[in-house]
Amino acid sequence: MDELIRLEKLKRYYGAHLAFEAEEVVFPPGVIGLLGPNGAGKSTLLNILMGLLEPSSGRAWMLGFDAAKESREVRSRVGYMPENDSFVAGLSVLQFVSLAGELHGLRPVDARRRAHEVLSLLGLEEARYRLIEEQPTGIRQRAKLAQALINNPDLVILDEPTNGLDPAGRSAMLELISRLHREQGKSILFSSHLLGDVERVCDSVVILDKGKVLAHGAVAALASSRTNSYRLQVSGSAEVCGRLLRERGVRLEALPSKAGAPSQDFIAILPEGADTKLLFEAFAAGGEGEPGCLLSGLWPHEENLETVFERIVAGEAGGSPND
Amino acid sequence: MTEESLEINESDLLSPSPEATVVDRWTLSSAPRESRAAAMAWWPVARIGLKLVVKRRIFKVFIGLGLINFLFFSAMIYFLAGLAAQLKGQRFGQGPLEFARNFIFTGTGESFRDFITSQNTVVMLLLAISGAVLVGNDFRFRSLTFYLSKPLERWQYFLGKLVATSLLVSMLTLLPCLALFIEYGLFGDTFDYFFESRRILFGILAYGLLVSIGMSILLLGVAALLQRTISIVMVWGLIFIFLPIVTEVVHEAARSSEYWKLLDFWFLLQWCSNAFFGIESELYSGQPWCPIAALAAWFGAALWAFWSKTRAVEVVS
Amino acid sequence: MNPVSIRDLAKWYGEIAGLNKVNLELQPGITGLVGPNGAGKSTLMKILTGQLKASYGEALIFGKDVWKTPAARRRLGYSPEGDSFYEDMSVLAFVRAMGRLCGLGGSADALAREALGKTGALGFAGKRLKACSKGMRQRAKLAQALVHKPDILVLDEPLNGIDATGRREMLRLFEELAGAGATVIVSSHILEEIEAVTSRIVFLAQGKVIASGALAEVRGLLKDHPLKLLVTASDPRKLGARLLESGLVTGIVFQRRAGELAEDDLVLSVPQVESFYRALPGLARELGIGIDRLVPLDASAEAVFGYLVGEEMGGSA
Repeated sequence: MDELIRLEKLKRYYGAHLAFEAEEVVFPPGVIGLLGPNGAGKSTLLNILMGLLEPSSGRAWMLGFDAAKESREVRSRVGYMPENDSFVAGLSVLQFVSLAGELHGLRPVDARRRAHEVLSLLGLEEARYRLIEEQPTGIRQRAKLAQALINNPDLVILDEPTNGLDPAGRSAMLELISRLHREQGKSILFSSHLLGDVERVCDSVVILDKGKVLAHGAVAALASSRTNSYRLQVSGSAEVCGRLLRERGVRLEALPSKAGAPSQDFIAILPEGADTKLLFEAFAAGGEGEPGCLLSGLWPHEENLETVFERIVAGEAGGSPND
Repeated sequence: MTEESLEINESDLLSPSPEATVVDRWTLSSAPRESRAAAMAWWPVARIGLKLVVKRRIFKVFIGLGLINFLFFSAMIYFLAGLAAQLKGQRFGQGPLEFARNFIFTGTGESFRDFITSQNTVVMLLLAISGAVLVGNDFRFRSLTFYLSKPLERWQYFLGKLVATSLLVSMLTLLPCLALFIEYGLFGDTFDYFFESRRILFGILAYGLLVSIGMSILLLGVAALLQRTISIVMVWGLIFIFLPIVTEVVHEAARSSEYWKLLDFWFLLQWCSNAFFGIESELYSGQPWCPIAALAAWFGAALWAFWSKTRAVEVVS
Repeated sequence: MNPVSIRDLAKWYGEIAGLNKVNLELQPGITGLVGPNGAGKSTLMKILTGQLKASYGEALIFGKDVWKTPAARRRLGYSPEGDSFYEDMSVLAFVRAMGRLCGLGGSADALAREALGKTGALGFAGKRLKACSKGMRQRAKLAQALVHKPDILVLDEPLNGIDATGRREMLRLFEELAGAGATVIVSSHILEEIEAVTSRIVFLAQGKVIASGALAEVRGLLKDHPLKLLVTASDPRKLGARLLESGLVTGIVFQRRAGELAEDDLVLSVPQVESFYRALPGLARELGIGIDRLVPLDASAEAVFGYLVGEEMGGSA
């Protein structure tokens, strides 16, 4: 399968308001991040993709099926993990996940077997026999993920999957999601406001705003990188560092620091033809003097997802590098 | 003891036993794709609904009440049969037997109708309490988001809920009534009763189904709209207790038109039951299409309420 | 006198210690409050805002006990985690009402508008809370915490539901307020966001403060976990051997790097960080090796949190 999702001249109106439109967009299999401000049209798009909302015009193809006309086929091959809690009150985690299986057409016995398997995969052991509504957030999120996986879907749609999870839980959930792709070959559509999560897990992103697809592709492809510029972190006297570096022709831009203290974070732009050895020369000198200055962090300065997102949503030219 | 030369195959020592494996929990067996027809997707909805109601303790109370009533009727039939056998051939026994037949259980349509009608109160109470569990909670806890994200259409969801509720009600009305019918027939001398009473059987089935499905539709509408038990109980009481009292007062005391009775759901059920069993009655002397229209209005309103609430649910919000 | 002073605070629920032996002195600026679910963060914040009575110890706001002196809460603004509002009120009416509760009087309307402007909620100020999305409600909640210009802000998961751009705007707002002299306490699970605005973090687990202070210093105190540094060098093996010889590192792991012609990266365990930084440039120059990357892998708030709470990063619980 080389096309996961295809949008063809898709438009959806609510009355006179155009909630979403896309001319010709193709998403390849993989882990895709779906980003956009509130009201950008994410829910409209997801509803259309799952076949729950009919486009006003145009078509959406999911896994090779027409989302509007073959909605059942789509939903039987896709798993959806909603943002809000949505479960059937009064059931245990196991019964809930089994019900999900039965709704996919499995016999009760098969559904229960699969439910046990999926729950073990997600690490839910004794909790599976307890009532869902009484479980803490971490367990409930994983139960939600379990019901999305019960039918061994080719594509899993996750809406804010780390919502309410503490740092350890969040890390575990992101790892689980990565492994679903790496070990099971599933494609994932990951919708989130937390750019850190998306960056950690996704191969490519789709950025929406005001009902349009502003950009899509791998983060690295969307980022613009300035060659020969590096991020520097220093400890000790920043002025001494600054002086030593400027002497050697390095341009420095200080980044804003917390709490008004002098900045220890810089972007260093090396002169033409120089490499990092120049920086180390400067710091070798800096380490000897008193007050000294030490290099405590160095990496090539690239745009990360946050800056890419900010730039694209703010309206700069953000075409798809896949064009 | 003979000495045997030991033959050691070196390769056995160095290679791991082929039986040893470490099972990777990340290997999922591939799921059998749909083994059940897509059109039957509503059945799990029904089953889970029933299961959630039956699990509660209060359910046993209502089943108990319904059962007592059923046993009472059942015992009456048994008593009659026994009485008839005892008094067979005895000249003076015919009197008491006639009396028993006329006043305790006649075996005509009226008796079966009366049985179902006597169960209606228990049914009403049971539905009021179960409305939240059957339907209301689905809206409160956003279960519909879960259901609709699966290969399940909205009408299948409705059908599942309807079947669950109807089954619940028919367990108290239609099914025991059929059991009584069979019991009565079995106690007769011949099996002619069954052939002669086709109209009665039709009446039982029709009335039973009307009560089962009809009250279910009403409940689905009310529960979808109100969602919490207390609200459902209050509105349910309004429909089944308050309105009948008001219409009675207005009709009797103020001697107003008979058509006020159409607001009383119990009246509508009774009128239909008489029609199904072919029983003549002075209950109502107005136009026959009015009760039918009134029933249609009740059902229409309930269906509309349920439908608009489910339509309003967006899976991705 | 510190704005917030918590001394020997404890809170028991029956036998269970929700909080025990908590001592904190907070200055103006932003302090992050971090801990697993159930660690006692909400309990601490509820006690600090006067909603819960401490079982032992005291919580002081500018020297006044917050439970005994309700008036002390005038200088406090609180944005709780939960989602419960007066649904029928408009956003503006809600913030205005909250402002009046804090004693604002006639200026409540103007101040409410100002607060809504700061949190980006002016655009929908007339909308009913019932009709607002999660992000809008969150902004309304933050506005009501700011409306009376408090000196102390207690924020529990303040960015919940807000989109990516909004998050950064709100973080900048907190920085502004802290810069103007407010004492801001932010509890959040999104550690990278806390790290972006402050280095002062309080780590809470199982009702106790397990660490507090500037992040870098706390990291330095974790002697059991020498800093892991990632180094990308032109000749990793030569550099690695030299570092081992020098005793500056206690362990080296070679890590595969993505890319066709990429050399391995070095992941070094460095017990004495400052000595290492001091020596590295000289070593690199001596060996003629270019270093393109020097990144601490486990000095982030998230890594420190993991070490403190003792769980494996990325494991499944």
